[in-house]
Amino acid sequence: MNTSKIQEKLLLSRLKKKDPEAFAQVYDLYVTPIYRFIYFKVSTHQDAEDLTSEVFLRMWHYVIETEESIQNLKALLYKTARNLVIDFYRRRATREFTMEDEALMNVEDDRQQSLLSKIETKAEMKNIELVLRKMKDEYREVIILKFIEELSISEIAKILDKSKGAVRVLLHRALKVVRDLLQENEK
Amino acid sequence: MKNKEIIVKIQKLKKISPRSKWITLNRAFLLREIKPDISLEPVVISWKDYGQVAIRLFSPRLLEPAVVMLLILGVFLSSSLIVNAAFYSLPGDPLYRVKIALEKTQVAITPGDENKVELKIEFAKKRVEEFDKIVNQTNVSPEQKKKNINTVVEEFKRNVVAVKDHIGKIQGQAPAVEKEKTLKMAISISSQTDELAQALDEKAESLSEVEKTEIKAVMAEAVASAQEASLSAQEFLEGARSQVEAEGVVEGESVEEVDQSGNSEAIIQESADSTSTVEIQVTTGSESITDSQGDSVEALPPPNQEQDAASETTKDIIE
Repeated sequence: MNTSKIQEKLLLSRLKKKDPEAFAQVYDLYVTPIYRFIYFKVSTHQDAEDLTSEVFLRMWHYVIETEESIQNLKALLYKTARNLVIDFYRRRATREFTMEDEALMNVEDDRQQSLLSKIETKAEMKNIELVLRKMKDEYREVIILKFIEELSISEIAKILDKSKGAVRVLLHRALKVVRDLLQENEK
Repeated sequence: MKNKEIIVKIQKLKKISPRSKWITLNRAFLLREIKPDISLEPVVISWKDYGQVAIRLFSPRLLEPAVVMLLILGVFLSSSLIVNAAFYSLPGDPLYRVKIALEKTQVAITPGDENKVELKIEFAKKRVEEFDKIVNQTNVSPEQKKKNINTVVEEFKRNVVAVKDHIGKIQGQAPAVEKEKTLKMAISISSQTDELAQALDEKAESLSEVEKTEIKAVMAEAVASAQEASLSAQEFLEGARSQVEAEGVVEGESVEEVDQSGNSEAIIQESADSTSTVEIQVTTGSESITDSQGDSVEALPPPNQEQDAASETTKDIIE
């Protein structure tokens, strides 16, 4: 049995008792992965930060108010993040907005440039990020959850409300799309 | 491009992370936001909470097919091991009660009185074997030995009494339905119960004199029960014979028809053979009773008379 799972369950039961320390620990554990998950779905760091903050607040209120037993804290956080991003795009739908353009701008962002300059494969990383941003949302989600956040198929299935088989199929197709897009970019 | 290379490229994106300054500021902001909800009392994790965590952790695992299969296999294996161990247990062993309970269950789930009788006879045979083993045991105290012998003889008695009761039941039912079958069964029961009485008697010979006197009464009862069961079977045989005769006169034609098919001929021949064995068994059985105990002999007809009756049965059946 994974120790992180035991730790997660203990944190959940402390959260239920409205323990601020437990909340702080959950935040420290999941802020980066949740931020990253949102970051690939929205176009700016600012939006990603705002939404990440909102995810933790919503999670807190849900955990202390709900009567239902929560099976998986991680899944709850990712699901909340997904829903918040959907709401975010609904709100912004009225505004004229092309995600792709902004995404490209985002890669040119100074802050990210400074981060990118620290790593050797700067161009490559930029390239793969662009590829991810070009992909369909469901493919992108499954790729991020599996290869960046390294979640198991059953955890991804819980987050995406899909069967394990459906997740495997999705993952296979998503990888194919990434390959095609990367080859297209190389050309 | 291989999948592995693509995955390596994707994993480089792990380096994307939020600003550390924002992480700290946001942490403080969130803690301020949740402050109105925070409980004033210090949070203590009780054993109950740990128990709930354990249940939450293991309950989904328990429902996984592999775990369920393992559990089933474990239960099946352990129960079959217990049954196997019980099968070889003797009176005095902790598993002997399990063995008796299993036998009772086996009888209860067996359909048909004929099959039940066969099973009971089987079990009575086992008791005789157990008796033999107990008699030959050297590593037990005399008291324990006596106790074990009593147990096994009691069980034997219970089995043969049950056989007798079952014969009574079969007699009560319509025997005309399966005449040949019940007839054959009665012959077999008669000879087998006789054999059992004889075997028990023989095994008792190897006991020491002191032991013999101690268990005499129990043994006498057990042998008498076996003889009674044998008698009931023979009575049933008589009844069946007269019925066959009566029906043979009334339904002569149908008997002929059956004869043509050749099946009933074989059965009668077989019955005749079995009856001859009964003759021998009955003779030896009666002799053994005379040797061991005079009281129960009165219950039996004289051997010659019995022999004559059996021979007559054979003749009638063959005719």
